[in-house]
Amino acid sequence: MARFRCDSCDYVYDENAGDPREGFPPGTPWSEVPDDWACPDCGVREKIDFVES
Amino acid sequence: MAGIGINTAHELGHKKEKVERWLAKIALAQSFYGHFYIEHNRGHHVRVATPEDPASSRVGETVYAFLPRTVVGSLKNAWRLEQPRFKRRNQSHWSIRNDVLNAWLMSVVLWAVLLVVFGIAILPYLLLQAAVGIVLLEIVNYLEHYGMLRQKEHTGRWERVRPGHSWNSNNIATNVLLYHLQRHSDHHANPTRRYQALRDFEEAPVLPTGYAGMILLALVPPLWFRVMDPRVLTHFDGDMSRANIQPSRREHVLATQSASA
Repeated sequence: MARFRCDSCDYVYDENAGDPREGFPPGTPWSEVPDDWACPDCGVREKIDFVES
Repeated sequence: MAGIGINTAHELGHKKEKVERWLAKIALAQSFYGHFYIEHNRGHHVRVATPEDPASSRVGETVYAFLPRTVVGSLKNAWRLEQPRFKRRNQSHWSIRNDVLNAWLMSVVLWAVLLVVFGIAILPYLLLQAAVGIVLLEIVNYLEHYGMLRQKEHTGRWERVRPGHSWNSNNIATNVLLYHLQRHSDHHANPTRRYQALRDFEEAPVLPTGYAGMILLALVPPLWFRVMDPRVLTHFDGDMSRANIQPSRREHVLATQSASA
């Protein structure tokens, strides 16, 4: 399971933890997160701007 | 009061800690504007300085045309933005966990308590302070983004938000009062940065005076256009077609605001 970090504000999407608040239950793979999903913390960057960490 | 409350809510609403975000919603509750927290963080910040953002004012748009557009647009956006979270999990968005609904519920409770304690006579004051708070907030939106436009990249995406995409003001008195909200350029480029750390940038366009003076100016559209339109033109290096222009005024603005004029 991988982790992806917003390159603007350091929010991290962890596939293990998912983000239930955003509608992604734990274990939701990054590939199932839609491309136009914006960072929930800063709103400045979108999925394709995230970097694997 | 409401103006200061909303501004404090704005700062707190951007912080990552849950407690601070809750305080933000409580502060917005007095103005019945809790949906602002949703639309602002996930709508306005994503689409700022594009024609798609209701809270980004356009060249040739008076503050009186901007107010209804932003108030209605923000409400619609907030409601729309909350839905995917529930749809992904096959849940109804008619839920207490919907941040638009729970924010309004908070307002209903707060107003109900005040009405019970102080009686119906307080209602006009509640309505007035809410309206003043909302109008102040949206006029400030008008100042902060007037005419600014991000360019489209060849991929069809809007370019990344940079400090040059919002107006700044370095007026000391209002900066102290408003938690450096006037350092708006850095705020949009780095929204979760705490207000004490917001910086001034050379590339950012600068308002000619503080927010207080600019609000008064905005209320008189002919003066506003005369002061601001040339500054927008300068910011875009004499090419007004790169600005965010009110569609119905586009020809007029381009004809009167050109490098040679």
